[in-house]
Amino acid sequence: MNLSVVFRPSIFVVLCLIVVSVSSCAMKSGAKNSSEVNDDHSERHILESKELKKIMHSLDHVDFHQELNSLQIDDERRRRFIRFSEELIEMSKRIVQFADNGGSALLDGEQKKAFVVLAQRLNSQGKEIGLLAEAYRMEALGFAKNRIEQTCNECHTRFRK
Amino acid sequence: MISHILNGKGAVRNIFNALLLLGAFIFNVPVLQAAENPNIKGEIQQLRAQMEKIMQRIEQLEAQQPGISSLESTSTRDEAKVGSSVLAATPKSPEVAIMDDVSATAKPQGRGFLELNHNDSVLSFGGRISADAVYDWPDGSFSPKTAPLDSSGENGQLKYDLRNSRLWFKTRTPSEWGMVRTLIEADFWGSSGNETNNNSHNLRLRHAYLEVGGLKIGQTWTTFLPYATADTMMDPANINWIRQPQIRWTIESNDFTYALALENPETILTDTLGSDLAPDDDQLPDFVASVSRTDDWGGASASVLLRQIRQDKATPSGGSEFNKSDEAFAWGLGASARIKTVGDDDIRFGFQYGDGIGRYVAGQAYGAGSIDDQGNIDLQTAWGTYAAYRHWWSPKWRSTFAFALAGTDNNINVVPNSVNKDAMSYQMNLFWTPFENSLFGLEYGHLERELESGQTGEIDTLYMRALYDF
Repeated sequence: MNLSVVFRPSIFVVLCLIVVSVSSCAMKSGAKNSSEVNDDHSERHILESKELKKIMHSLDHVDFHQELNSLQIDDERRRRFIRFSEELIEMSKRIVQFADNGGSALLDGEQKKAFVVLAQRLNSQGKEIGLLAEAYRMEALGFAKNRIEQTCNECHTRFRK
Repeated sequence: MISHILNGKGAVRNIFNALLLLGAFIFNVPVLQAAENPNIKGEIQQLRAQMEKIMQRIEQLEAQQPGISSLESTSTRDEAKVGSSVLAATPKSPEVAIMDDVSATAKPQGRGFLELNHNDSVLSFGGRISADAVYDWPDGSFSPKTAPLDSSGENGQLKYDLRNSRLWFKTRTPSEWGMVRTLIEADFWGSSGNETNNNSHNLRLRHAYLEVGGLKIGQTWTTFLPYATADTMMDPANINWIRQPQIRWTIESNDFTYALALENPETILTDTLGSDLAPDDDQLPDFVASVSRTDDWGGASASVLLRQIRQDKATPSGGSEFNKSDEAFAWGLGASARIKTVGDDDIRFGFQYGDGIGRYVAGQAYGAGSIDDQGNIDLQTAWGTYAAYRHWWSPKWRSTFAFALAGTDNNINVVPNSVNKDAMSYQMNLFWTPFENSLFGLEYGHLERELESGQTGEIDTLYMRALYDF
């Protein structure tokens, strides 16, 4: 039996409850009255952000068993960073699609450009982190992760309240 | 990377692209702010001036390339080398290339590493400071093999030590076969120093191996070790952490990881006096095959162990050399899983079972089999199992509750009733990680063991640890 069938629904339900409680203040006030497309996107983005936060937390050394050696930790972190990279790239693509499909209609021209630029930057940074992980550049991954956090924070500061 | 951008046929175009992308990625903050500012023209002029400064800086760095300090240049040079193998396989977008340049020149990369120019290697070194305080009552060890029996227990003892501190060196070197990685790690569980004067404990080898592609050669954890183990400081009753020399081939395919290993054999038998007998007559390596999978829901593994148990005119304790040899083939099965539950919490469980599995379970509390007065080997079954739940109170605080069992089926017509029969342990802990790479832990554990005679022993242990990986 696929265990994910058992556990994913429960995690999904918990996350949905969280989303319901916070989604009302998730976007700018203007977004509250926007189309359903906007609402769907913001809810999904919040879910994805929570999942990404979990992955980012799992990248810290604290998560690993004390008996693992340095190469084993590198292997595990590398695997998680590659997954992190894939998630980021997918997320950034969806953000760009969202903008292309008129989801950012409430933003003026320059704001929309900024929104897209930030999404593209997230995409590039996601690719960068994947390349660094593939190349075993473990020393550089921490800084790359910090830059992604900066991009996320910048976008949230500008477009989420 | 800088030279990669500036050199070549498309240098002019690349410079132009670089200017544009630098503006987009480095100065996007002022660009975006300008968009909301009515005085956009002025902002754009400022940006242009800043970009010119950056280009001047890049040119300076390009001119100073040989003189850049080793820390700053390592990532750039390293990427150039890696680029020929791994990175070359995936073309970089100009955006990524520029960001790499920025990151490579702006900050030292990582901690404790340097570049060995003569063979394109990157050498890293690091270690761990682990200050442990242990209080046992009665005095003894938290082990299913040697936990104090009721009749031999003394009142508690407090001990401090730093023997779990470690040092390690590792390298990575690009090659035609992929990245070659090596590791040497030692702790201080070598010969013991005295507590009276200087506690000068000696180094002990933990790991020493190289890895290239899927091939691993050297000493490290046995492939039979469960994928998921309890997040505890003391070992639960079911497990034995074995490190031994081995040759392992790992294949990764479709989310599954397969491993085949030939590992150092070591026969341990229980003689008629109940003592461990190590004949040192092994002829075939221990063979381990395992499969594991890691997914969003957690991960799981299963493994098979096949081994030869052999003695050739061995000498038992208190006896004379056998005049014959004997051998048997043993097997073992293992499985473990880690399944995510709520939030970052997870539940872990696993078991190991086998005939002649011996030293692979329960802290080597049981032999692979018995050996009688004539030198005949009779394998015995042994098993170990555990379940643990790890809960995160917050991103920096977590606890694990673990419960473990282990046991064996002794050949009581051969061995005395003073041998170990089964064991049980439970543990709970609280770990705090106030900053990266640190851990402060407090763990309580209780362990019981029972002999074939029915005699029991138990130990309670309070374990405190302050740990920092550097």
